[in-house]
Amino acid sequence: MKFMFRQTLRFDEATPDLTGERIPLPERLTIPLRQQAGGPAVLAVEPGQEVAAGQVLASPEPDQVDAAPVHAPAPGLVKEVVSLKDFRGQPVQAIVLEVAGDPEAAPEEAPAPPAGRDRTALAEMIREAGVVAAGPRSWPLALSLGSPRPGGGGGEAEAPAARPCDHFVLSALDEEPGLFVQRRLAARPQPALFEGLKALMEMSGAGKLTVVADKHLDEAAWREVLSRPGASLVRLAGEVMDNCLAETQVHKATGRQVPLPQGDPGQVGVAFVRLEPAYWAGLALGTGRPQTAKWLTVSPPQGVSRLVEAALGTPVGHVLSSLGIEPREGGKVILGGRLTGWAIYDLNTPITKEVDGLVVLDPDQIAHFRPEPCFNCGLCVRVCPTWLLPGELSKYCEYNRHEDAEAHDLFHCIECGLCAYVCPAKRPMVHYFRHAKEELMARRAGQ
Amino acid sequence: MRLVVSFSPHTLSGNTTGSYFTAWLTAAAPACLAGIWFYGLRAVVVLGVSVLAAVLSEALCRKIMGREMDLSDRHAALLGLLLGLCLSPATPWWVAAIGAFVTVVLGKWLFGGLGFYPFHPVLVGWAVCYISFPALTINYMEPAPGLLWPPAGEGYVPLLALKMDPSEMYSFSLATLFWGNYAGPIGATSALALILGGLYLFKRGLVTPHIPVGFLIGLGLLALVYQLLDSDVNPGVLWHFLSGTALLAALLLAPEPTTSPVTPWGMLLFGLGAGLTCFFIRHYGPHPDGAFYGVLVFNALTPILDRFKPKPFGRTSLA
Repeated sequence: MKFMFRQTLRFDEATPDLTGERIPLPERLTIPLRQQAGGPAVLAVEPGQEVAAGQVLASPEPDQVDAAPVHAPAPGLVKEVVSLKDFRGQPVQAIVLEVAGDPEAAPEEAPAPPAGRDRTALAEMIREAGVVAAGPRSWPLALSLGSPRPGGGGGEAEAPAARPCDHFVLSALDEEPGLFVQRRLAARPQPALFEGLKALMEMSGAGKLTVVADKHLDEAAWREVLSRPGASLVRLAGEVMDNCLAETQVHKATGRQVPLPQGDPGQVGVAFVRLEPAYWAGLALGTGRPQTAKWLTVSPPQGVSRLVEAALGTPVGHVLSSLGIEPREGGKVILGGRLTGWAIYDLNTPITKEVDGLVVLDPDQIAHFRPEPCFNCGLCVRVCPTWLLPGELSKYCEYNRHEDAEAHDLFHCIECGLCAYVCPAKRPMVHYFRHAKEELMARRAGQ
Repeated sequence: MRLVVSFSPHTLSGNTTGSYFTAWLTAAAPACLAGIWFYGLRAVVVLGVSVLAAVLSEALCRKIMGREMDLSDRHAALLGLLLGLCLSPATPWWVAAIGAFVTVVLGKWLFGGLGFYPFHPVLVGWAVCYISFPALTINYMEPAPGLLWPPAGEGYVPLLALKMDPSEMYSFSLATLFWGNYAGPIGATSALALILGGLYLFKRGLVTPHIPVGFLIGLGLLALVYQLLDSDVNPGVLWHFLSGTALLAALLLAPEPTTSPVTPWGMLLFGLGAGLTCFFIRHYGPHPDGAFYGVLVFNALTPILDRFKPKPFGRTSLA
């Protein structure tokens, strides 16, 4: 019955210069101890301590499998440890590092990779490199390799069933249209990426590989990967939001539905990895360098986006001023993309491993919601990637009938924002859903 | 520096309630033009009074209820226009005005306005007119293209032929029924105009074909069976589609957003049910046409039909 029903939204996007550029290091970096979906890592340095580039600043406890270590992007002096709000508004501790030099200017000799690369050693190296998969579900990369992640994703808690990983889905699509972090690597893959991919596939134990990509993937450069036994290529349009979602890509590549609300491909035996984390993993395995930087798509209010590499902890304001972008009074600065990103109020907010994009909007480009009543037009039903009835759900949430919303699969909502995007009544759909989820979680936690 | 903080998404499509109903007004335009072509100023008066009365009633309701005086959603104008299309060109202006008032006040605002009414307000307004002033609501007249003020008079209505004198029903050729050159409501007779409007709504992506297709399947299936049984008294599928208000109901009234389901199966069943009801009333009911009643009956079932929804993505059993 899907015939003539689904509506595919294509977003306008102009491909930026895919060479990219590196943002010079600021004088100070503010490095949060938590840069992924799990808990914060434990501080491993003291204020006043001199640190070298790549030194561990914070490291998770052995039982904190959902946390990733944090490393110094540059040599410098630990000034202090401060409490701040991350870009989602959650409190987090951060290390303020006074930068004393640029490690890129004189790259230090890397430790040689271990000779015997057994799976446990590889996994340990990747874990210690602190690689995190960016996006709404930013888990440490080591947790994306096909075994179910610990803990539920909210809502009805289901025990993750173990299923051996047999399918590796490598995504060359970004978190949402308009971002080009993954597609840059698809067009210009680097040796470290292929190194990382090889190791990650080995670790996952998957026999099949599906590369999901749009037109930016350069098939000639990828020939070696695509000619492996069991490898295939699935082309999806990158300007369509549905295609950018891990759920859709896994479904199209393997025919399996990732169980929601957990959203963990490992539960259906799939290792889902996007290109950039694979690249950082390859770099870590090849050179011993942990992830201390992040690639970002920076969209100025006017003109084409830019691709930049920024050290973790670089303040947003520094990234923008190095590119000559001046946010305007009353404008909006968004970490992430236009559909799922988070607006920030402080230009000192640091870049972390979780974000793929930085968007600056002028005051006149800001979209305004109006909580008009839903008139049941059904446009949201036709764009919802998780096949919900967003309009009906939003009515439950609007009138604080949170349990009813949950009974109608509120927690299957992945907050992609498409329902709000199409809504003619301009209802703040994502706001309703997020609020209801928070209420339900808070109530559950209070019990 | 002060920055605006709000939740995602940070970009919107530009759809508004106003743009949505403007598209619907555009879809209704061909039927209006066809009505004006056939009935001259008579159609203009009925349509104009109906729209004007609907907009004034809307303003009145908003005033009384303390709502924002914002008519930019054009919903009242659309209701007025659709009501006009359902009325006879010979309807007196004051019946059209009463109908539009009832449409907006009883059909829409007494339930809380856009988004809350359970029945299509236009069909509520039409039903009130039809029950209160039957002789003034369905006093259909012969079309007279080119005449400014064609004379009223008893028109020859295909569906009445079906009921009263089946031998006469084939006197209408399918071409006549398609172009709309026969007696009927202002906006219902020209199949061509209605199909143009419906295609526009499909193309704009505001209506999916499920409801209209379901309606035509429901009506057509029974028509086919009946005609196979006895083609002397039962007209064919196309005859049923093209005569009376079937296409007006299927394309412009049944897919009304608030009163119709949103799920694929819900919409298909909604259309199917309305089409079947239409057929039974046409053949066995006391009324000449059943399309409007079919839609009204299934409006009431919309909340139930929306339970036929797809299983959400990712609800898989892991066992």
